[in-house]
Amino acid sequence: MSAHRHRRTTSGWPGWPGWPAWPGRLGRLLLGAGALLGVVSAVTVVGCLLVGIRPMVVVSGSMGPAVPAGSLAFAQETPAGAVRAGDVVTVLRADGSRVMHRVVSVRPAGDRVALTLKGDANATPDPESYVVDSVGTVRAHVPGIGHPVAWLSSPWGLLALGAVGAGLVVFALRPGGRSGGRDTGGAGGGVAGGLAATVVAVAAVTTTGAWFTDAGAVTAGPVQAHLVVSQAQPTCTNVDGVLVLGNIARLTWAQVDARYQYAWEVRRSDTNALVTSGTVGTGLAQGATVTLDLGTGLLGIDTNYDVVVRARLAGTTTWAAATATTTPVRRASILIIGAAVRCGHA
Amino acid sequence: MARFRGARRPAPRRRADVGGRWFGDGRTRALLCLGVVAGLAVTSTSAYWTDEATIAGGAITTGTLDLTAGPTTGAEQLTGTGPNTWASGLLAISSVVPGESTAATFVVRNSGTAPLRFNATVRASTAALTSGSNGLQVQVYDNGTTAINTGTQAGADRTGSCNGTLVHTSYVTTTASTDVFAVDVALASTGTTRNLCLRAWLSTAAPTTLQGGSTSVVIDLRAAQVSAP
Repeated sequence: MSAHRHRRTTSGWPGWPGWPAWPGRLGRLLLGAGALLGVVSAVTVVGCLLVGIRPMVVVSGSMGPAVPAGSLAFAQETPAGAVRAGDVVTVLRADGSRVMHRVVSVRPAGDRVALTLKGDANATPDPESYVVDSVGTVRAHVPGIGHPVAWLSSPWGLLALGAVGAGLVVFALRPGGRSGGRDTGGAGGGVAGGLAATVVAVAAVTTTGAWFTDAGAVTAGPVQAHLVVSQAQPTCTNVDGVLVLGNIARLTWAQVDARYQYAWEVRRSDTNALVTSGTVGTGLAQGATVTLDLGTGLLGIDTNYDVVVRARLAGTTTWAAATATTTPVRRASILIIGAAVRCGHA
Repeated sequence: MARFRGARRPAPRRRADVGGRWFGDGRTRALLCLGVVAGLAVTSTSAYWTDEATIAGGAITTGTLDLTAGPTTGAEQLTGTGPNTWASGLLAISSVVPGESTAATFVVRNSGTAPLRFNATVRASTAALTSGSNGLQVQVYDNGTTAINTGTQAGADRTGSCNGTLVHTSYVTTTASTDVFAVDVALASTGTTRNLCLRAWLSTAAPTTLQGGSTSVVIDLRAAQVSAP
C-alpha cells in the first residue's frame, strides 16, 4: 500500500489534483492487455479484409456441437460452384436474415446453384432450398467470444464502448505526463481515427442464425373401408299351398349386415337367359332371416333354373360382394298338387 | 515482497511494467486499445461485401425448438427433436361405407424455448383408399376445438363435423398434399398452442374397388425457428 501511494504523483491537471500521472500497476496491465487485444483485433481485421473473410456471430445452436451458439465464425466469400456437400456455409434467407448450416446437396439451377442445407442438430434439412451464386464458407470459428461481441453491438454495449473509447482518448491526450511532445503528436493523429472508429462501430455486427427445425408426424386412423361379405349359401325349402303363390321353393339366409340388401336373379340353366330378378332384405337387422320365395308365376316353363344371390350395400349399390351364391331350382308339374317350383334340378 | 522492494527503488514502475517494451507508455496503449473498436467497426464494414440486412446486437439463443402435438394440452406427443411419430388413433374408424365421415381434434404446441412457425401436409399411409376425387377426402379446420360425431355403423350414416375455419381439403394419396396453411402458423412463445380439427370423408362415389381398403391419415408437421432470434 505504501508503494502504491509512493507512485501516485499528481498530474498537474487543473482541478484534477488526484489524477495519477502514470497509472498504477493494475492499470498498466489492463492497458497492456487492451493494447494487445487492440493489436490482435486490428491485425485480424486487416487480415480478414485482405482474404475476403467476414466475421459473424452465431446466434443460435442448431449447428451444435460443431459450432455452438455464441461462437464467432469466420466465413470466406466463395463462388457457389466451389461448394461441396459437407461444407458449413452461411447464406441469406429470403427474409434477409442469415443462416449457417451444413450443405447436404448441391444441384445446378441455371447459372446458379440450389443448396439444400441442414443443421447438425436438426433431424431434417431446411424446408426451403437456397438458390445462390456465392456463399460464405465457414473457415474457422472461436466458441464463446460471440457473446461479448454481440453484447458490444447492443445499445448498452455500444454505449459502454463509446464511453471507454472516449475515456481512452481523454487519457491519451491528457496534458502533462512524462514525455509530452512526442506522445501528444501521436495521440493527436490517433484521436481522429479513434473517434471515427467509435462512430463506425455503431454499425451492426453481422449475425448468422443456425436455425432449429423440428418435424413430426401425427398418424390418424386407420380409416378402414367396409368389405361387403357374401351371405351364406341359402337354405332351400319346398313349401306347398302358400296363399296366392301356391307351391313354391323358399330360399332363406341370415342377414349379414344391417346395411345390406341382396340382388337376386333367376336364369335358365340351359340357356343362361335371365328370367326374372329383384332385390330383397333391405332394412333387416343383422342376423334376421332373409326370405326369397320363388313361385310358378315367376317361372313360366318347366325346366331347371339357377337362383343367383349377391349381397351389396343398400345405399351404394355398386359396393357388392365379390362372390355370389347359386341355388338350383326347377319348375315341374307334379301329380295331385299340380304346378310347383321345387328345390334342386331335375 | 515486490512492494517492499519497489518502495526502496527510485523507479519501481519500470520493473513492473512488463508490457512496456512492446506497447509503449500509457498513451500509446490507450490508443492501441481502440483497435478493439476498430475491429468491431470493420466487422460491420465487411457486411457491405454483399447487400444484406443485418440484425443489430441480436441475442444469442441456446434454446430448443420443439413442436409437439397431442390430443389435449398437457398430453403432448412428438416431444424432442424429430422426426418422430405419434400414432394418435384419432379418426380411427372401421367398416366405413361411402358417404360416411369422422372428425377429431388435436392440439399443436410450442414445447421448446425458441419461437417457431409451422406448417403441415397431409398424406395417406397406403393407396388403399385413393381413387382420384372419389376416394378418401381429408379436411383440416384451423382453430377447430370441437369435433362432433353422430350416426351409427348399422345405420351407415356416421357423420363427423368440425368447428373452426376450413383451411385445407384434399383427396389423400401417398404423396404429401400442398401445405395445409397458406401462411405458416407462428407459435411465438413456449406453451403457445393451436387447435386443429381433422375430418375424413369417404366419397359417396367411392368405387367398389376401395372395399376393405385401410389407410392411416398422416399429418406431417414441420417447424422452423422464427427468423429474428
